[in-house]
Amino acid sequence: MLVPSFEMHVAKSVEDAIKLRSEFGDDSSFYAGGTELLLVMKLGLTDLAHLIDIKHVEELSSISIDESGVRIGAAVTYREIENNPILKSDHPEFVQMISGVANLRVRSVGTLGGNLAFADPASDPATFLLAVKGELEIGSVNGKRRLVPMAGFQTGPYQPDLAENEMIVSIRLPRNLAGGIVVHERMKLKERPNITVAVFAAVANDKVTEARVAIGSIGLVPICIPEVNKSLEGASRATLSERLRQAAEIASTEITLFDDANGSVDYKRHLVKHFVEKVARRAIEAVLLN
Amino acid sequence: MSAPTIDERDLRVESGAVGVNHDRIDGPSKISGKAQYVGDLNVPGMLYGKVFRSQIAHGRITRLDVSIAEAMDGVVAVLVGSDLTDIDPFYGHAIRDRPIVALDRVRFVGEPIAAVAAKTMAQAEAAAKSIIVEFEVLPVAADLDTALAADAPIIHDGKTAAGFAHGLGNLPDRDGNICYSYSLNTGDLGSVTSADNIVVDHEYIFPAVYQYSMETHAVIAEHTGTEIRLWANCQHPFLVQSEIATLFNLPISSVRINVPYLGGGFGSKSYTKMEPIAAALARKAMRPVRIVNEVSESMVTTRRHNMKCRMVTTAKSDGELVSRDVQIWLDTGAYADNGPRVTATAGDAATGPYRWQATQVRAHCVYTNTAPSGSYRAFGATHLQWVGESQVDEIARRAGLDPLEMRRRNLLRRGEVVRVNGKPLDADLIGDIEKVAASLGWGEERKQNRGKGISVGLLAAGAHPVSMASVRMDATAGVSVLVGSTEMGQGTRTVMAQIAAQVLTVPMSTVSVPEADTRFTPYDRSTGASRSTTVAGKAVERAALAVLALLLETAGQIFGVADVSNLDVVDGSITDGKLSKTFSQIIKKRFGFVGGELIGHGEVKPEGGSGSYEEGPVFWEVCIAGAEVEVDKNTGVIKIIRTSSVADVGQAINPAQVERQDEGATLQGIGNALFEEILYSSEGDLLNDSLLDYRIPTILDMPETMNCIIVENGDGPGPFGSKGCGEGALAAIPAAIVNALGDIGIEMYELPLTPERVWKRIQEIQEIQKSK
Repeated sequence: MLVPSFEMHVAKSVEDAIKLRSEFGDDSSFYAGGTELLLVMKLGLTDLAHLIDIKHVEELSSISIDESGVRIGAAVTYREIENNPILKSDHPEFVQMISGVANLRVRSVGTLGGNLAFADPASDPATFLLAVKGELEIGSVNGKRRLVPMAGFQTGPYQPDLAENEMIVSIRLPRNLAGGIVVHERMKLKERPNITVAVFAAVANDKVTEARVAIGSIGLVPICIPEVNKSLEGASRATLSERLRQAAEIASTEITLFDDANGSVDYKRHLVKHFVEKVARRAIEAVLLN
Repeated sequence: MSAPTIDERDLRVESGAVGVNHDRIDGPSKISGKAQYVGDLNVPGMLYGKVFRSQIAHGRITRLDVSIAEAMDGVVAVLVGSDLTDIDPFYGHAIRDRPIVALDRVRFVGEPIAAVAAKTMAQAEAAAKSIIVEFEVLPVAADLDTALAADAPIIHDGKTAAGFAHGLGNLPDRDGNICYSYSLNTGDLGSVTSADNIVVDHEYIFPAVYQYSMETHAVIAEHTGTEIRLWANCQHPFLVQSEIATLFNLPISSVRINVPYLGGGFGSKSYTKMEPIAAALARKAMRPVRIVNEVSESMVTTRRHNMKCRMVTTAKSDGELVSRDVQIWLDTGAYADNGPRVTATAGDAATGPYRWQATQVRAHCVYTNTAPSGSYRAFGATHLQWVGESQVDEIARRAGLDPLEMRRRNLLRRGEVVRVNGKPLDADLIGDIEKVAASLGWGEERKQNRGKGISVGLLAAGAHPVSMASVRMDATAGVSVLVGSTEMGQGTRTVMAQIAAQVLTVPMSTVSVPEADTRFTPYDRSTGASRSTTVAGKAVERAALAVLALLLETAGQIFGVADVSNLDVVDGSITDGKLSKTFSQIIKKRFGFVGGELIGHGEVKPEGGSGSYEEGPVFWEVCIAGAEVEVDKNTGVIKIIRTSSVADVGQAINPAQVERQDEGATLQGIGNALFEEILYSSEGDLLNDSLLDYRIPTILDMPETMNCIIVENGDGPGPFGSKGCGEGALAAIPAAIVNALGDIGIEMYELPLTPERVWKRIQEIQEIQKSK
């Protein structure tokens, strides 16, 4: 099928992009990598008359790193992240996760902001950002900006918490992980991941002080279950196995799952249990040994 | 000094063409993007066609309104069933059961109901969307069990005639939704039963699979009133030519088909597919029309049969095989396509190459309300080999025998009967399987969660042995090989060039193999059934020998030698030992002045008998492979560590191409075994019609080692003792993988081996072990 015809508008700034979007309303979309959008248009699932090209907006296309943290413009491609030398040395887990997204062709044009704005339930980056307490800078009309946590940003499948005249401007990562470690794993049966688990863990005095287990690509949205995190806090080397079993058990019973082409609820529950235990063990053991 | 004339070229380079890894002659044009496929071609005045397809699986059409479409910008014609009243609109080479477009009833989601021809693709798509259709919905049988039930909706209730190329003797009458049955019996099952026997009895499921060639079905059609021209990506141009001629009441020669490169076929482009609808649309539009399928459309154009099979194998306690009883149900979808042949081939593959006291095979081809099923590389054999071979392994385990030893004891030997009245075994299977086992490190210490499996089978190859070829040599000794084999990525043009170059002792660079054009290219039955090198290649060899005979005839006159066997042919020249004349000089001498050309004709036809399926095959293609796999018991994910396959080819014309064939077949075998599965809802909706949801193997799924063992025993009927290859590994790999899993105690009865299926089976086995 052919992509239906549309008009392309090249935005010069965030404000310009938001102005264009306000003007065309729901007959328009921001356009960056197009790896999701053009596919959806080709399949005839949406018929947009206007695309707002944000690839040339300087603010959206840069990566900056300072003491306060990492700021990645929403239109930065996966490939630019993969090839960024500072990210490679300071945030190897993040870069490793990004370099596992889709394939090289997609990563060469696809953008991190696009991934999060599309809010596909199967997303490695969204799950990872949940575990590391990532934040999103949202721009809206009249130059307003707000910073929102990744947690809660995805309200449902393909439903980002964005008003029509809002856009993701940048993605923020903490500069360092406050003595913690993050481990990320995913399993992929088809084109997209069918489970992603990212675990952040920090330790003091040989005990887990903080654990954040993010589970994605398997339920409706990536989630962090507070009871799962709590069950790991205070774990020591001696109690770790038992705590991990508990955490995995809670995760697999608390998460909302459904049967689909990726598997039955039974199998998915088992995968949640298996990967939560496995990835959390990797994270906690690594941080305990540090 | 003047430039050397063409006569003085040094023809001694590149001599000895056969058995050499010549580069693909189509390589440069494909790599540079210059190669033309049907979708790249434009014919003057050409329109764009779009097919309007059914959204429901079974229903009577109560209203079809194309008036809006007809009035839309750029629309030249809209084809509907009522345009076909002047012809018999049914086609199907096996059973003539399929209308060009739906007449009064649809039988699967995706069935063409109408087709639009417009000046642009966008106009054609928009017009197709505007077509209005209403149905009286009929009950749906979207799977085998529903279609075989006593109260099943009957999918074909009218009379259907046998197709022009069914080749299966008298087609029996339909029995409910069963359109064809095949049976094969030897010995007396009842008399060989014994209470001491090991009995293995299971039901098996094989999924529906899509052939997934990168290029979808594409055709340009033009109807001039007296002639139909097609540019089509078909594997069997001459069979399509016959079928189109029959449909439109034309002499065969009034249908002309050009076949450019194919972007893969694997059987998906066997026989007639989109050509009839394109021809009918062009006839109505009175202009050429090009139809190029979307992937989702090609997935409902053809697919591999899903199958249910019940197999019972018995053996003596020492592992000597005794009997096998097999029932097979193959889902051919809404129209038979090649289903009857697939059914017969599956029946033949069911007993495997073993010695039995008694066997009984009953194979049925069943209509359902799903997309039609046809050929796919190693059809029938892929369906059955994993079933039969997993039972052989199960018996070996129960008898306490090594699977390799089990096969040494039971496999047929060269010359033994494979199928009564058919060709006896023409290969050394035990020799082949030993080689595979050795390359897998058979008998080495087992690693945790790793298993090894081997499998052996045979595939009736060669189809109907009729092929012709022409070899033309011009006055500069340039050679054109006219042969109907379709180049679909397998490298047939290179192989044909090598055969001609070898016979004529000329360099490869002077040989060209153009695309098939049925007006000029001699008849070739088909490109499939691993037959091109063996059958069409033999025709090329004979045509080249005919040219050589003409050269020798003239050379004899030049040298004044009556018996030309006294002359030597060396690197493009003929010599009597003293004098030497180049081919070019000989041709100029024969014709005088600037010369003419030599044309040799080569023909292959059945050498006794009718060439029928029962008397065949041309050769038994060996399907032997082994695999080592590793299972993650936590997720059920299978990793293929290494594979080994045998290409028992008699003589490799181009060894590198043989290896690439086996590697491609291995990867497809991995896809069939582990990932691929077309899913239908109970209402007959295709649920996974894109690569997002239909999983094919990628480069990341390749085993660490893929070993292709070329066996050259010179025992093939093709040129230089060759025989075909390229399908065997696809049949053998799924069986080897299933057996490798069996080796670690995970016996599987359903493909594909998705992680969930494997994980569930592991849970099941653990439960059984706990309860013991």
